[in-house]
Amino acid sequence: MTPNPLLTPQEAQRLGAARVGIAGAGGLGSNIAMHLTRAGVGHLTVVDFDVVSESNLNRQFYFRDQLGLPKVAALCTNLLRIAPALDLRTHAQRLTEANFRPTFADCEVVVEAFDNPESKSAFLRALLPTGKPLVCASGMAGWGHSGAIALRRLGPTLYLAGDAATAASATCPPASPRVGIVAALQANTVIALLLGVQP
Amino acid sequence: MPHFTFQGTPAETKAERLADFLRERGLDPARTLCELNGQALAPGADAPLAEGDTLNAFSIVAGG
Repeated sequence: MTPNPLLTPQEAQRLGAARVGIAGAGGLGSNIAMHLTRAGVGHLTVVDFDVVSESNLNRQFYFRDQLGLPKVAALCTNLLRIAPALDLRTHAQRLTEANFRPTFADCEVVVEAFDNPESKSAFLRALLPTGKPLVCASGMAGWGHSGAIALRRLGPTLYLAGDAATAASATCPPASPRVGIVAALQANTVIALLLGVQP
Repeated sequence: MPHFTFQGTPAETKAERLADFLRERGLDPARTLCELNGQALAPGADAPLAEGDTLNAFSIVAGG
């Protein structure tokens, strides 16, 4: 069953059968999961150790009555409201270089959706050698400069979304529009990879 | 001194290895994602630089 009636039967079958991994369920990951669920992806594996906090509500797919809940639990509730048949596997744990591979072993595509550069780099060190398609992000803080955000393909299996420059900081915080653009770009890339069209 | 293409433009360096070249350009190798001759290299990876190489480098920055 898909929440997306605009798909052809073949597209619905393809997306419905796919499992996509999402590392992180913050500004990027929660919105990527929402996009993929609305698009009709049938199986998601989402990993995040954090809980929903007040500072998340400006850009993440959570609500005020979910403050304090584990992000993966709140996300599960929200995604199942969109697609009750979604097969959502969640892990409330911290990902390390030692557990990236087993956690996402059965995922066709894995999305990097962390906010700190150390975790982003660890993700790449652990999963790039597997040859699995990866969709990562770097550079999305602040406002404006939408045209600087791009999708780049690096080698045969790696995609990088963002401007690769604008770091989040106290004076340049991550905000919903730019983070949302990158999250949508990552989700769009995943769908393209699954459907075999040009990302 | 290798002559190669960096970010789409001709470049040259005294560095013989990728990590040294990135530092020369003010980039932290541990936070830089590179594509060397069509192959992606994870942050922290090192490789020799050779005449005619094509290199692209992208910073991994905070935010998400």
